[in-house]
Amino acid sequence: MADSFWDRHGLYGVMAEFAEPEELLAAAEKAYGFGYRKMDAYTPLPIEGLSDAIGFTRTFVSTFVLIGGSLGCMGGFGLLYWITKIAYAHNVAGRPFNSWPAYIPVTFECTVLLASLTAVIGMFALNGLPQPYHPVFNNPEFSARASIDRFFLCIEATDPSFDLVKTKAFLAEQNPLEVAEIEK
Amino acid sequence: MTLAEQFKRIQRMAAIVGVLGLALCLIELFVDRAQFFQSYLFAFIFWNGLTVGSLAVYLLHNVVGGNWGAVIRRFVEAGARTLPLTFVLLLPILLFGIPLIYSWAQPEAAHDANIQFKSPYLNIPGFIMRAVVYFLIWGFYTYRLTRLSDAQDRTGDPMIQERMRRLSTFGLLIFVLTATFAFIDWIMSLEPHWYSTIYGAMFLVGQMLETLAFCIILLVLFSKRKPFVQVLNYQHFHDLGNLMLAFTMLWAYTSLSQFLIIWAGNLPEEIPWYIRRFTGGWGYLGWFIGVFHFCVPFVILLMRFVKKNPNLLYKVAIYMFFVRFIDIFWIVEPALRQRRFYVHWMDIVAPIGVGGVWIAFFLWQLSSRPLLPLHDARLGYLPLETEAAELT
Amino acid sequence: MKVEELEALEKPAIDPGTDHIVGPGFTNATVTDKIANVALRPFRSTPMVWFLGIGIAFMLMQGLLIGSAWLFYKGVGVWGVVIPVAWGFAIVNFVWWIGIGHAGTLISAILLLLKQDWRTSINRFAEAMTLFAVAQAGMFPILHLGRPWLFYWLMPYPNSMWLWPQPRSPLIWDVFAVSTYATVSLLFWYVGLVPDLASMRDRATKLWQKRAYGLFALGWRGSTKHWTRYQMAYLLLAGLATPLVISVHTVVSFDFAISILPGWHTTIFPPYFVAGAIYSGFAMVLTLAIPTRKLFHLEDIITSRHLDSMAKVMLGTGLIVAYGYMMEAFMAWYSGQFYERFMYLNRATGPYGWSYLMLIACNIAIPQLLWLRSVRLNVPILFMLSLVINVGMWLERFVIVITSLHRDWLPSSWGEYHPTEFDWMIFAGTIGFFLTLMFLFVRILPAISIFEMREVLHHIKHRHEPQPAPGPAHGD
Repeated sequence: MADSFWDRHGLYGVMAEFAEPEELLAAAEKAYGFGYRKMDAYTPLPIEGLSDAIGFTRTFVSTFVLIGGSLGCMGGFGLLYWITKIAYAHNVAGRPFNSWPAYIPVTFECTVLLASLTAVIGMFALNGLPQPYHPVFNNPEFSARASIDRFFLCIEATDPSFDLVKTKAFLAEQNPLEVAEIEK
Repeated sequence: MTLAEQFKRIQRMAAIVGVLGLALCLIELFVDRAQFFQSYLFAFIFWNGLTVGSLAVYLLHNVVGGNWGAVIRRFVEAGARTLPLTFVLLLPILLFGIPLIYSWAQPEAAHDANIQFKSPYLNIPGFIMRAVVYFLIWGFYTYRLTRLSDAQDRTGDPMIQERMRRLSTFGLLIFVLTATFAFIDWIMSLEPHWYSTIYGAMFLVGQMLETLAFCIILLVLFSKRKPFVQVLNYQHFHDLGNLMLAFTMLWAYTSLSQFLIIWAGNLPEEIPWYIRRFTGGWGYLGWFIGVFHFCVPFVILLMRFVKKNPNLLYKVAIYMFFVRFIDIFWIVEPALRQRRFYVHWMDIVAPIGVGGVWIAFFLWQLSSRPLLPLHDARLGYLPLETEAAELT
Repeated sequence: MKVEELEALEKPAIDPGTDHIVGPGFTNATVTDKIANVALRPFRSTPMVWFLGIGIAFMLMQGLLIGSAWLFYKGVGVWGVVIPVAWGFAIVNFVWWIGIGHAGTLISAILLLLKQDWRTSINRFAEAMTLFAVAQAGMFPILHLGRPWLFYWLMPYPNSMWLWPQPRSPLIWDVFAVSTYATVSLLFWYVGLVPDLASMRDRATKLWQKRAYGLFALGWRGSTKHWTRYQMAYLLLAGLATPLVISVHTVVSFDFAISILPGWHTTIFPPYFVAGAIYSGFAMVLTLAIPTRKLFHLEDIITSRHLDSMAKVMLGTGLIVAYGYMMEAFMAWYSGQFYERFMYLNRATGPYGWSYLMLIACNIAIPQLLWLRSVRLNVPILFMLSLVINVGMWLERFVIVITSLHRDWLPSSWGEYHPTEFDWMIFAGTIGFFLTLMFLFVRILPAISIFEMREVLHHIKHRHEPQPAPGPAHGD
């Protein structure tokens, strides 16, 4: 995608600060209705309905976990089957080479291990974390209070309908505490 | 047709089917008495499972609370109140059936040192007396809780909920103990040499699963009607679906624990239970239960849209009810049919007969009170007395 | 930090009673400060009791170092293990610690799925406890190996001898179960910490503190897209951890039950071990939470509602354990097997009968006091009861391990087990190690989940407003 004028000039976006989550939720819904798509809301606690309001609904985390869990399940059972039936087939106390009931616990543990690892690693990877630098922290108010008790909405400069003056005016109408420009 | 008329009609039909079914069974009584009691015991265990399971779910809900229980409260109350009926249904076994199906009561047992050792516990008077005691204790709790529940409907006193909770806490304790010994008596002692410490817990979990499935079926059937339509939301179905999932997993957990420990030990006093259930054709049923009682419903119930969709959940609940039927058949009958798998016509007719009578009695009890409790704070919405009392 | 803020740290908090999970008047900012300041306060304003406590714990920990150094030098003969009691304190302590390590995941995962809001104030704390307890547990099987430096032989890996572990043995299941549990507990704990570490980063005043917390906060910025994925991942982790936590103690119970030894080989073991683990885990949470809330004035965040609920869970799980004892005793008779019967009678009346009687007293009889509401709300008595249950659950493992082993089938093989000073030293050392880690944890990291406390405040504020009609959720 071609960079917009504002984007090229070192602007990340415009950010509004709210005192209450309800105000942020209302502003996010209005912004989406207004046509903005490239935006993000920042809150110190998860707010129900906020991600729907900015049009973000699919997380793909559960798909990752399903794949990880299936691989763990097959891998765990496969490993034990391979050890006792193929690689090291010995008669132990008259038990069959494929002692499948004895493999259930390990198969289960492997399933959970891989599913959990994919859940966490997948979540962080999709979130793009760890990330040492991000422009939103350039707002001193953001870096002081975004993780404590203030709620922020940032409309990004890469949005096709972004216009510094109009977007600022739009956000100023939403009853924020403050509207700030964010440099890259 | 009003709900009350429909109730009457279904009740009458169920009663007719039940009586006809039981009458058919009587024919077998004259042909092969042992076969009659084999199938009758299975039918009794299955339907009594709903009675016992109802009491268990009811007591559990009174202790732990939750919105899910308030909407099915009247179903489990009515289920628990079928105790007099199931006691009557047990009488033929108590009076005539014991020597025909329980090998410890047969003359050959006199030469078996192991059974002789257990005879202070496994003997006919003791068996009968214990059964009476179980029913008296269960009946006591059902009676007291019904009285309190009626008083709550009448007065709306918020303290009654607390009194029910207190009664049920201790009640649950006594119930779990009595139910454990009831299952040891009625089912485990079919194979008098065999023993397993997890058995009571495993069987009780299965009975509660059967009851939950039954309650979900009823709830969906009623969901479009007053008073349910004003109270129910997706969350209720989601919670009940999750509960059914939890009990499916718990059932699998207890069953697998027993299987794995006995399989690995491979001791002559324990392993015959599984040998009987995995040879002579019974193995197919065993595998069927492993796959269709756990794997399939587990995967289905993991999906959230199933639990939030009453119509889908309804189908899953019917399915669960059916596989519970097969599981109980697989647990009870191999003990009596040594290494030979067959289904007698009585195995179908006896459950239909007993079930018809049970359903008729259950509906009679269900229709004797409003279908939703009138003053249960956990409903979130209190149905007006006129709406809820439509039936009475 | 200003003088008045320092003074505020020393102000005693008021317990709001059993109806509230948080004291009145908290806002997002004050709840953050209250919890963050326990860790962020200057070094010199650390309570003296904390120094005293960690000092004692650190001294105790030396027992582990000295004991295991001597063990490595001389071999397992320094312990009291003899044939037929080849499993001694090492396995008793292993099972005890891993049982304690169950409460954290249970509180975090199962109570999250059950939507129990009282879990929030104690889950982080309990998760840390889990992690440290599992660390103690993991040491014992390795110390018990005889040649601990070859512990990696337990893992299936390609080797020049082309040998593989025996996967029909529950001891190998244990390797998988415990290592999976340690990994998943760590993930669960760390994932929960990330948003709070961001709060700590933003609240810290010193640059090195900001950097230290910021490094582990991974640049968390509270984006709502991140929150959505985060909540999904957390919920899935909870869903995975719930069966996992049950499976771990189940596998530990298989270590015993898969054998054919009377007293070990019984089918009730899996659920009864799991209940016992939860029982001792909650007892340990109470043992640790009661002094912590007093020391750091957290009575308005860990309220008597929490203590009451935990006491009820202990009562319930304790009764399941009692059910297990009862079934064991009944079946020992009902089985008609001579060895089963002898084992049970010997357990109660033999040379170790004292341990069985103490076990019944500590685990079954005394905890029945929890039926009384006045006991559950009496903090000192509750603290004492939690200690009694900890002792009781340790005795349970002692009884199971020692009394089942010391009478072999043949009387010529009978023997007795007497723990040596090194057994005790290493056991006490792990308690010291565990407490040292706990003391460091409450001083360095937010011991209570801050963002979840904000959610609790948010819900309390909205409780009386109409809820939107529930519908099918998106994105799952």
